[in-house]
This record gives sequence, structure tokens and C-alpha cells, in this order.
Amino acid sequence: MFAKWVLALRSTMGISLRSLRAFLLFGCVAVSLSASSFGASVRETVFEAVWGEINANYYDPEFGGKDWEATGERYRERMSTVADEAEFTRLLSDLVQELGESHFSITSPSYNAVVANPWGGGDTGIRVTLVEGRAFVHRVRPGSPAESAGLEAGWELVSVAGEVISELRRSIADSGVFENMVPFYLKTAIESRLHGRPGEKVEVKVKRSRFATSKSMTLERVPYEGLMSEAIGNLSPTPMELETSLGDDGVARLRFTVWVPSVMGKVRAFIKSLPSQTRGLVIDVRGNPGGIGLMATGLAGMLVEEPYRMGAMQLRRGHLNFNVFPQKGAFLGPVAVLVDSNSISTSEIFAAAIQETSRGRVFGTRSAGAALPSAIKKLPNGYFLQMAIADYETTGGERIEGRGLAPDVEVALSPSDLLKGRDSVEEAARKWILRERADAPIKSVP
Amino acid sequence: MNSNRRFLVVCSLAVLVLGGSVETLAQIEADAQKVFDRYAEALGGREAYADIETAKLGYSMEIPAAGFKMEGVGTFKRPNLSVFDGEVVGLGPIKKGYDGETGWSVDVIQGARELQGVELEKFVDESDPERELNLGDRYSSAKLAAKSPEGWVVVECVTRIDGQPETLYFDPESGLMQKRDYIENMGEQGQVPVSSRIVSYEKMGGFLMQALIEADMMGMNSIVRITDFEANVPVDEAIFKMPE
Repeated sequence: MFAKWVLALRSTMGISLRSLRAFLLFGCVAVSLSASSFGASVRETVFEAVWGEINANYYDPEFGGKDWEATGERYRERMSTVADEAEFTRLLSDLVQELGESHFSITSPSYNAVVANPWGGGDTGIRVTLVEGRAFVHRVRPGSPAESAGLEAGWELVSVAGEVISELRRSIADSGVFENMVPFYLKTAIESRLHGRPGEKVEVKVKRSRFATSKSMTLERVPYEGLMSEAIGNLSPTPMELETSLGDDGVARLRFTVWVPSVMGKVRAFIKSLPSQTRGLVIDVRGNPGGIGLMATGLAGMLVEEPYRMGAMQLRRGHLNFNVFPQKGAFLGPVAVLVDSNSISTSEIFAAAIQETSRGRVFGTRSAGAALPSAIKKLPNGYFLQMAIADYETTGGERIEGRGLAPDVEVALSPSDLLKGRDSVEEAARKWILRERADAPIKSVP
Repeated sequence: MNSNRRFLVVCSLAVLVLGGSVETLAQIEADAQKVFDRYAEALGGREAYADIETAKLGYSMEIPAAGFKMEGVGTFKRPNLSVFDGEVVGLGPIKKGYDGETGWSVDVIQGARELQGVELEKFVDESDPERELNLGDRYSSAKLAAKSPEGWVVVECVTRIDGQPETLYFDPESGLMQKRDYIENMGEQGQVPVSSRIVSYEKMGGFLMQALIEADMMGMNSIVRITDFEANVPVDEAIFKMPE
């Protein structure tokens, strides 16, 4: 029996590995940063750490046909011309972008060129969305400074904190980030400029319609009182939203803005609580940048009564499957998933599974196409490297990375409808649900 | 009547075939078995474990580069009941157990599920002390290979349950295992190679235990610690059942 107690460690390792699998990120989320200044020798160490991590652990041993050794040599030569930390960060960012995929980034102090104001607890009440590259107010938090200033959903944001949105977009696109991630970085850049410390002010320039005259507003940030995600590993807490409702039309709605574990309990409780006459469920992951990848299987398990495989991630060595396990109280009626260009990673693989299994329909616009499992690793100088450590394919053999998910029903968010208090994408989804389940009551799994 | 007889014949054949296959396939070379036996003695020998009916094992795991931390307790009861109850910082609780009939897993991300196939078989195997009386029982074959650069004795094995290669490294002086390269096969959940190095042993409950392990998996270095061990603790068998 002695071996048993020794092998208990082996079991521990197995459980830990399964937990670690849950820890993998499918998305773009903030990290806690505490870096200090450093010299050339530290830069070399950091450079080798970044190059070496990718060399050892990037999922594709062929590096997509790129000669990674030669790439390393080329960048080592460039190292001698690096004068300061900003240039060094740029060099590292260029290096990780060489593979041309999502989920490769360096987080450093100069990342603040995009994220101007790290989360400081202050909120203006504006929730942003992008439509064809332009930024609009998607929602205004009731009682917020934005509402007091008369701002409404559907208004276009022309500039924030003195920076013109179109120029901000151009500078992000020119920075060499993965092309499909430009909308994400733009939205993040705008939101970060709206954030700041309570009591501080931010000026926004807005206009009510395309040809209207723009108008300046000064908003004083107030303490944020909404939900915060929990700190997970290197991820710092971030403001998040979770909305659940059951409309008079019998259609339930679930919206959350990041895939973090604290969401799961509430989501399960909401779905279990749905009455049998619920006609359908709208799951809104527009603007949701992903998070904990395995959560896609957890939510999918609340929508089926038979297990299935959503997809698989292929590591450099080994593979891990994304299996869906039916849960008690699952909702089995029509499901509509709403996506947009800022539905990233976990949001995409979840929507893809709903579409591929014909479990529901996907509405909106093409998703980002940034769906690789990644890990965030701390570098010797306090920077962070986010890198893809696996490829992901759906069970049907579809790769979402670089392509995105085409919705079943292509429908763009209409700013003019937003001005009228209507969400054109959600309306399309609700109409479909009501057509599907005009009469029949929905049963839930006991 | 005929169908009953046929059923018995089929069962008998199945037992014979199964028994025969085990006898035929188990190829533990004598030298390898000696290494396993010596390891068993180095840990404290069978007698040190003979009186243990139940046990609790505290453990922690971290992946410093990723900021991952997990703590938990494993509880065991003869003949093969076990439950691991852990908490991953930021992720929440994770539980996995076997009640003698059903293997199960519950976590906040995926919810509750019953273990199936190889995953269940392996978990039961690791929960069954009588099947782990010596390392030789775990493998269908084991043979000595050339010594490692560190001078360790190397045993190349194939696991009995799922036919995966596994390489074990032993210190020739102490007889203690130093390293294990294996495939963590989770059946339908997938499989990942793991290389684990036993950094230290500690005497707990009258025998040596692997107290600190560093492992490489999925390109990340992890550290597993056994923080405490207590034998013959009161255990309510209800904890092994799958939670409602």
C-alpha cells in the first residue's frame, strides 16, 4: 500500500493539470504590472526569455514556416540599436508579432500608449461599441455622469481626452498588432481614456448623428460601483458587467463582458431559474474579449442534455479536448448568440459550438478571429508575455483564428436604432426565437 | 437456460483471456523489479503502511510564472475510496473523487460530471492501495536502460492501463525515485506529457514521502508540495460521494 501514498502526488498532479487547463486564457485581459527601469544586460535576458519561451513552447514546431532561429538572430542584431525601454518594448512586440497570430503581446509600461489610464476606480458611465470602425455609445449607465450630461446610446464618439478616435485607430493599426485585434485595442484604448480616478475629469467630443455638429462634454468620473472580476494568476481585477433578465415576451437574456469563473455560478443559477414557459435565451457576447477558455464548455453544458466535444487544443506536445457535460437544470429551448468584431476567443469558440452543433443561431457581425489558448508569463524585468501555447479547432475541423466566425444571420448594430432605444441585433435574435417557439412551452432538464 | 450457460461460458472465456493477457503481457525484467523493490524499501517498506486504514494529505501547487496557486486536501479510505478537494485561487473549488463505484469531478467551470473510460480507470487505479503494492503492478513492461547523465538508474516502462511509455529515474545510492517522465492521460479529456522531478523526500507518518516535486507540463514549470500527512483519521464515507 506504500506506493499509494506516493502516488497520491501523481493524482494531485493530474488534478492540478486539469485545473491548469482551466487556467488557460482564451482572450485578452489586463495584467498587473510592476516593472522598474533596467539596463542593457537585463534587456538581453528578457529578450532571450521571450525568444526562448516561443522557441520552446509555441504550439507549431514549424513556426508556420518561419525560420525562428534566423528571426532571433535578426532581432539580436537590432538589440544593439535599442536606446531606451520604449524602443525595447517595441522590439519585443515586433518579435512576438512575427508569427502573425493573436494572443501574442508584451505588456510593459509603454503599453500605456494604448491603455492611457490604468484602471483607477473611476467611471463615466459610457459603454462603447464599434460599428464599421467608428466608436459609439452602446449603453449609458443610469445615474452616471454621462447620463447627467445628456449622453445617450447611439451617439458617436469623436474624441476622448483630446485624442481623435479615427487617429487613435490609425496609430493602433500602424503599431503592428495582429490585424484582427485592432478593434479590441481601439475599444480598450477608448475605454481606458474614459477610466481614471474618481473626481478627475475627462473631455469627450460626441455627435448625435453622422452629419450633426459635434459637441464637447466634460465628465467627472465617479467611483465605480459595479462588478469587478477577481484576480486570477497574473490577471488583475477588471470592471465587468453581468445582466440577466426575462422579458415579457418570454425571451430570456444573458449578457456578460468577460469569461471569468465568478460569472459561472450566477449564470448557472439564472438558467436553472428560467420558468418552463421561457421561449428562448439570448446570450450576448458582443464586446466580450474572452477569458478562461474552458468556461465555454461550462456554459454550453447548461444548454444540452447530451455530452459532446466542442473542439480540441493541440499543444506542441499533447492535446486537450473541450468536452461539454450536460448539467442539471439545462435550458433546452432556442438559443441565440450575439457576436461582433469584439467577440474574441472564448466568446468565439462558444458561438462556434452553438452554430456547429445547430444548438442555436448566431446573430451579429463576424467575430474577431483571435481564438488561441494562451498563457501569460512574467518576464525577468516584470513585463508580461502573453503567448499562444496551443492551436484550437472545432470538432468540425474549423479553425477560428485569423478568420473569425461568420454569424448565421448577419445583422449590424444600427446607431440610429440605438438612438431610438433599440438594439437591431438583439431584435433580430428575439424575432427568430419568437418565430421558433410561438406556442410550445420549453422544458428544462430536471 | 442455454442463454445462462452461454453467458457463463463467455464470462469464463473473458476471465481466461484477461488473465492470460496479463500474464503474457507483463514483462517486468528482474533487474527492473529489483529497482522497484529497493525503492519500496527506501520509502519505509510495506510494514510501515500496514496499519493505515484512512489518511489525509495536504498539498499545494503553484506555477510561479503564471501566478497559479492551488491548495487542497486528499482523503483516502481502504479499500480504494478517495477524494481530492482543492481550491484554485481565482478559479474556485475543484473536487474529484471515487466512492467505490462512481468516479466524479466537480468544478465551478465545467460543473459536475462522472468520470469515464481511461480517466476513470486511472483514477480508480490510483485510488486503490492494494493495486499499488509495488510499482511492477503498474506496468505491462519495465526494463533497465542506460544510466542518465546524472548517474541515475533508468527504468523504461509501459503503463498497464493505457499502454503509455513512462521513464523512471532512481538514485543508485538511496534507491529513491528522482524523476518521472510520463504521459498524463486523461482519456476523453486529452493527454499531455509531464516531466516531474522529485526535489525532496520527507518522513511523514513513519515513512518517506515525495514532499516537493517540480514538474514541466504544457511549457510551464509547476511546484507541488505535500504540506502534511495524517494517518488513521476519522473519515465520513459520505465525502466520497458525488456532491448533489
